[in-house]
Amino acid sequence: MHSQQFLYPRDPERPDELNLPYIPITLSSKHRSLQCQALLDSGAKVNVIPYRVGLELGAPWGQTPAIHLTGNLEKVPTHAIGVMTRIGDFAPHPLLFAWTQSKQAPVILGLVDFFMEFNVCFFASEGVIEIAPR
Amino acid sequence: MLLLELEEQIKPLSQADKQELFRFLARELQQEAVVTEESPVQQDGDFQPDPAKLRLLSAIAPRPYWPLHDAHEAAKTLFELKGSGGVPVI
Repeated sequence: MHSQQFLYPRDPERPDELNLPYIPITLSSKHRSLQCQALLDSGAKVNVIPYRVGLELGAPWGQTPAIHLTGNLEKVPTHAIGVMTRIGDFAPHPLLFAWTQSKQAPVILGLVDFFMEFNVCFFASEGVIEIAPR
Repeated sequence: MLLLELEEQIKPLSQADKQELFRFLARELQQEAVVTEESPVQQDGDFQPDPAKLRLLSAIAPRPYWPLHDAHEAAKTLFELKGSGGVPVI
């Protein structure tokens, strides 16, 4: 299966600084699609989407299994949802997300189940991320 | 009063400056945990730093939205739901 490369985001005012590995993705529901930036976080056990993203996708809050996160999201109500996720030119793939009621959390792609479905190489020194479906 | 005024001055600082200040204050707090021959090494539970300094620290401390590296139960639940198809795609 072919891989695709994504560039680490750069601040035009600080071109030599390396930022966190955010990539553009498209989340889709039966109602609409939403483009957003997602953080590739191999240190996160789960995928996460913030409250407003789930609402914009038209997801029904509180009607799916509740799950319990940790860290700053520990006390925030969270439910599991499945969302069709498109990354680059790859075919859309259903991923499971922890939909948190936090408004500040970014979209996070973590071990369950993004890194279960995609292989990722971080060439941070070259400012490149390479992704391929498993 | 001084610390309240400092809180207001700290709020508009850049994240980098806040982190620098946070590290400086953390070192200052650490130095308050003095170890002498009479008193044993203070454990985290014994150390009582100045509440005003703590409030100032919390105002500038980095706020991670994760670590999610120890969200074991959430990962296990999602993994089981993935296998059972217990969460429909929206």
